[in-house]
Amino acid sequence: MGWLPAILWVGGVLAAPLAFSEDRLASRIDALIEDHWAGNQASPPADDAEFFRRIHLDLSGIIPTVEETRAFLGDSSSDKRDRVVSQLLDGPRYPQRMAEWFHVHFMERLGDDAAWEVWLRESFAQNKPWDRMAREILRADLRDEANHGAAYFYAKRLENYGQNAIDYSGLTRDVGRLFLGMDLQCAECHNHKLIDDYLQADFQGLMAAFQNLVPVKDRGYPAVEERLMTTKLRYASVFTQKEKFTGPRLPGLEEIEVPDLPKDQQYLVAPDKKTKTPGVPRFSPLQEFATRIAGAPGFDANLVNRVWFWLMGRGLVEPLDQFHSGNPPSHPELLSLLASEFAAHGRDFRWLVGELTRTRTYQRSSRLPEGAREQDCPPELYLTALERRLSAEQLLWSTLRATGHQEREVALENQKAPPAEVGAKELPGLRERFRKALANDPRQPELEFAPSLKGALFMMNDPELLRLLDKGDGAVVTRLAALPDDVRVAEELCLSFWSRLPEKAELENLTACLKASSGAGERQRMVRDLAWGMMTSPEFVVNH
Amino acid sequence: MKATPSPLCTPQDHQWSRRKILGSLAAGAGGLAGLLHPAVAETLAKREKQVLFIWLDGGISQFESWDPKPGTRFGGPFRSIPTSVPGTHFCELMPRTARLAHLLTVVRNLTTKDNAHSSGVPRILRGDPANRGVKYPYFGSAVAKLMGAGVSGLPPYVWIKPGNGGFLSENAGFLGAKYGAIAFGDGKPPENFTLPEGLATAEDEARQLLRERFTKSYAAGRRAGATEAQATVYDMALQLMKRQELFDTSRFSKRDLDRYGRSEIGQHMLVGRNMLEAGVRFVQVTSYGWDTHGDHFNGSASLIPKFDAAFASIVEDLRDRGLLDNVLVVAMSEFGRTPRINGHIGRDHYPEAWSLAMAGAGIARGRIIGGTDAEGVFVDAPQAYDIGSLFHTWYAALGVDSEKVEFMNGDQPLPIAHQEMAPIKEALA
Amino acid sequence: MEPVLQCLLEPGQQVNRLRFSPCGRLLAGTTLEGTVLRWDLGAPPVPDAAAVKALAQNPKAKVPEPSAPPALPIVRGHRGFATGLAFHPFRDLAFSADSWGCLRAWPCLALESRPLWEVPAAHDGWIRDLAVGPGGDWLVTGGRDGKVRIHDSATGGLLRELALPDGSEIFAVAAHPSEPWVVAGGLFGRIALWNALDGRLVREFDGSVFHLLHRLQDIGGLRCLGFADAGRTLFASGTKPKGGGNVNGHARLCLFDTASGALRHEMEVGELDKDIFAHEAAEAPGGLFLVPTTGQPGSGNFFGLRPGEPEPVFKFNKGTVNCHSVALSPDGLRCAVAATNTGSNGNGRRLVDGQYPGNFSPVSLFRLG
Repeated sequence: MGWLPAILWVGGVLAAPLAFSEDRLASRIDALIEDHWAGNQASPPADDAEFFRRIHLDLSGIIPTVEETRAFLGDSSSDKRDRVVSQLLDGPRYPQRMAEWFHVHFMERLGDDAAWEVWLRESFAQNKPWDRMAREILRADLRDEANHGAAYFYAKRLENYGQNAIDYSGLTRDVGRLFLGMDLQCAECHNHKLIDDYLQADFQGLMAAFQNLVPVKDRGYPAVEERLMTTKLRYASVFTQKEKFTGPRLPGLEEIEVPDLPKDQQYLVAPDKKTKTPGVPRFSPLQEFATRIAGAPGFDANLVNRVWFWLMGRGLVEPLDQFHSGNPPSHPELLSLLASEFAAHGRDFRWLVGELTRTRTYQRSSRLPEGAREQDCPPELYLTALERRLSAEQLLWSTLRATGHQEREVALENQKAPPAEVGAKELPGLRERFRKALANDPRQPELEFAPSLKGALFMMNDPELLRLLDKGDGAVVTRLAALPDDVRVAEELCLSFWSRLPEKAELENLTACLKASSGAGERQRMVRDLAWGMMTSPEFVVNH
Repeated sequence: MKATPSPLCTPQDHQWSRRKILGSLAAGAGGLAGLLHPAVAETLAKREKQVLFIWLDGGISQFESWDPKPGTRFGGPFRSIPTSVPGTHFCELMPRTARLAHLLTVVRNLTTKDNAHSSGVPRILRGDPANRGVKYPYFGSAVAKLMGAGVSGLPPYVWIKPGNGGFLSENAGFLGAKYGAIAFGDGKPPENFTLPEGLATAEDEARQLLRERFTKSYAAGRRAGATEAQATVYDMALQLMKRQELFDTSRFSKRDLDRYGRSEIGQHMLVGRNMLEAGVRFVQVTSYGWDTHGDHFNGSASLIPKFDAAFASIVEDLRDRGLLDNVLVVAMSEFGRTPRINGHIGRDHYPEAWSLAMAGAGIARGRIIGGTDAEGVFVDAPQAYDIGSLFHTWYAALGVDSEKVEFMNGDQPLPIAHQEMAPIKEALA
Repeated sequence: MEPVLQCLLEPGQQVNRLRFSPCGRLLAGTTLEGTVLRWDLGAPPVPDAAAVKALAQNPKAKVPEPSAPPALPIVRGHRGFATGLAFHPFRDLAFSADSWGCLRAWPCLALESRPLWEVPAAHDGWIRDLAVGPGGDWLVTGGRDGKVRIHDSATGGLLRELALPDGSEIFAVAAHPSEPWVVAGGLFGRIALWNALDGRLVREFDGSVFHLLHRLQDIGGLRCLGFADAGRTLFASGTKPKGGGNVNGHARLCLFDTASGALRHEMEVGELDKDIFAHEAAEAPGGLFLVPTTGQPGSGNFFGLRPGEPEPVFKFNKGTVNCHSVALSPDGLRCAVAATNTGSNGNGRRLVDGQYPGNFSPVSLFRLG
């Protein structure tokens, strides 16, 4: 594994890191980032409005309300940013937001499941440590009723896809990619031809644990059955044809022995064919993996790299699933620090997100430094905040809020049922329409801002979307068109869609537009066109 | 940096094609994929070559089409007929195409690898490049990337297919979703293709103007990528919406319908002709239902004449309109079908020895390449060609030097076609 | 009622249609390789090779009784698929057709059979079926060219040409056992009955169950027409198609009242998607219909069905996978079923001893109970 164990895994599962600075992690991050600048000019800090919108989108999954923005802009206390981070981390939307983030990144739009979403939200509401979440997902224990939803990670991947048989290779690959940052796809049939660290034995060792999984259907919740594993997995390189055997093994760890149990002792609970109840094998590779996963090389680094990518717009290791010695991180010491500190803090998501969002790095403006050209600010130096993609869900909630349909959001916030049901009841079809138009296809990770023709046609022409602007109680266009004061209308529009006040020249242009439209109908149309223009500009659809 | 800017490439060219060539821009702005040299793409874009890619999904039988073996053990029930190329015969099910053989190149010595649809279709459509641990783009996405949308402003990769339409990003592989296909299911336009009721064109123009202004003011002082990408898809959507007539099947003349056939593939080929005429860079027309494991011969008797009518008509029309020099036409499947006739009177999948046909831009006319033995079991030629050779050939036909031009996947340069293969020289004009 | 297997013939080719000669001595079958296979059922049976070897080594060895009738030389000369096959009711004359349009008459018992006559272009291409009229004076053919033609059985000369009202490809023909009537059915399931002597259209039958347009493909599901119950019943077999490409569907046997055209029974044969085509049907004494089916790899059976009964009288599938033809002996006591060897399907090029193998049709001879 080259440098990986030496640098990254010092913390590992051990309790205390070697050196624990008095400084907050946030300042140590900034120091390590700024160390690389070597005289390059950086962007100034984001202004209050820029920060406020960004932090809301990241931690609550929605833009702030007009009132919240006004209050924040009017607050002159020096610790207001720190306070808003804390408030949002403890806020009612945080678990929902995290569940959406996790779902998009770990399910990659393969599908949706109510039990899975509930499990995710509860996990983030309880702030479950990452190793525990990973254990529950990888264990997928049918008997563990409190965590049934976690089995969806496997269960969805064990479904037939089109006319293909169950894609065990795909599941194996996803576990490697998403939990350890290693895309072992090309090491299934032979050692990776271009990446020395990726061995066929790694792929097959992972696969050994998953090859005996079968989906359990008709339970009403996601479920998988682990069948008996009594012999090692046999495989051969397509090049050498030499036969090899492996028990379950996580990359970088020892192979787990497959015990030779007498027939009558193979099960803890024997399967019951009559009730179609799967058995519980005494030897459970899933259990073994679940127990060991937190000690596997790359476990912490992968997670902090993914969180870093989410909040900063670029992974310290890019691509996110190419951790190997031939692809070093842009900031090795920083990745190492984040991984070890994360482990030392009990793999606490809230703590990690809190630290990252309190950095200067996170809170920098997305505008280029004065006079700088794009090429002066290579993204890997984090001189300027990188623009990030908003998920279909972030856009849905933000659109509802911007267009004045708070009551629908409230319906969501107050509901106990999983969001899918709310979608069906409270937001007829809208969530599905947003996803269809703005989410990626299955298996296409949503990593960069990639607007599509489909999305543009949706924003331009979808009748349900456009209705939100001027139909229903509180619809933003109807409400604002009735206001006589043009300045007020311009400000409210800017605050509603862009979470900021208009600049001077902007205000002049906006009020000029409003003044030019005479008569109620024309004014309504003008406000609607302005609102639509704002909603479709990158300032609304990008997290900047 | 193998490619150098062409002397044809003036600064003005860079200007006008800047917006059209989305990829190089996005790449410069930190996107994952780019060309090794953006100037290459801009030079290519000016040539305005187009592609018509006809995909017979499931596998058309070479015996009942391009490489008949009448009167032999596995030859099946059909006779062969002479074509306009002396000495060359096609199956009797393709009488009209047979009369156009002098415009085609038929490759009869294909030997590819996968005999399953699930792996065969993507492998063929991605050109089976050497395994680089990345998912390669389909040919259409690759052409969209390498040659851009052209001056039409329409999406570069349009796919007319039966069933659902949509935006198929998977096709683009590592190039990224924007090079995916826009699919017109049953030849129909995509969802949200028309202005919502009650919105007049004038108001649409007004709101678009506001969007552009807001976009511009956001862009000031920021990286160009997001804004450019956003603007491009809106421009493309607006262009497409202006072309509603492309989908209006009621405009097809009776004569065209008679010639192309009142079949699914006939109609879709006519929509494809519209797209080519409108300037779409890459038009794929797909027909499903060719996987004739059972009742193959009666199936072929129904299917192949419908392909014959549609294919011969489009080739005739391209020829008559002088477009055959500009449009590369390829008709193929993911594999051929077995010589052996199974118990369900079908033919199964056969990648070992099969055929395809092509015509048009850069392609030799009236050429038959390779062949198979008397019973059609083995390739009977000094060389058999895999799909990689075809990709090289097509790129060469389109004027893309597949040995010099490379994709960029991050910092990783990737060949656009299989590195150990080369164009089929005989197939090139 | 289950048929009793008497012996198994293993020709090296795939059989299209099997028929017994009217004298019962000859069993013949057309093949996908343009040949006609023949077995002489009247000749002493041939001991099998293993038995001969065993006896040579030890004359006292216990070997099973020889059971396979000897094969006569293969009749060659057809091209493409040899398709329809029928015999003159009392002359030593067989009629066979092929997919290149050729129609021939030949003495069937002769060792070296030279055609009595041959019409090389009786149709433009694929002749799908033929049948001989009740007195043997004429025969009827139907082809992919949409034509139904009546030929003089003595010369092959064309007597009359008919076509379905929709002009569609012909998939099956039959001749009435006593009246001068011919029926033909086409791609879209239209079935018409004419008077062969004057060409008058007498009646139509609705076989639209046998057609489906799926995507591009017009699936013609009709495979066989015939008369039963001394001509009072017209039967049609084939498939009710469900999808094209790899055609699937559910095998069907439809029984019509000849006099009125009314559909009396529409019988599903076997299982949907497993028993896809009922390629043929034959009426055995007692109103039992013998129906062989083909389907997905390994599917296909030999059924005995009685109209109106929900369950088949028998379903035989030992050695009768993917059956294409059934022939009933003139005395009604025996039948022959042409099936397909196992492992006939498979993608790619699997070689056996360096050779690319074709498929063949094991032919089972049964005694009917």
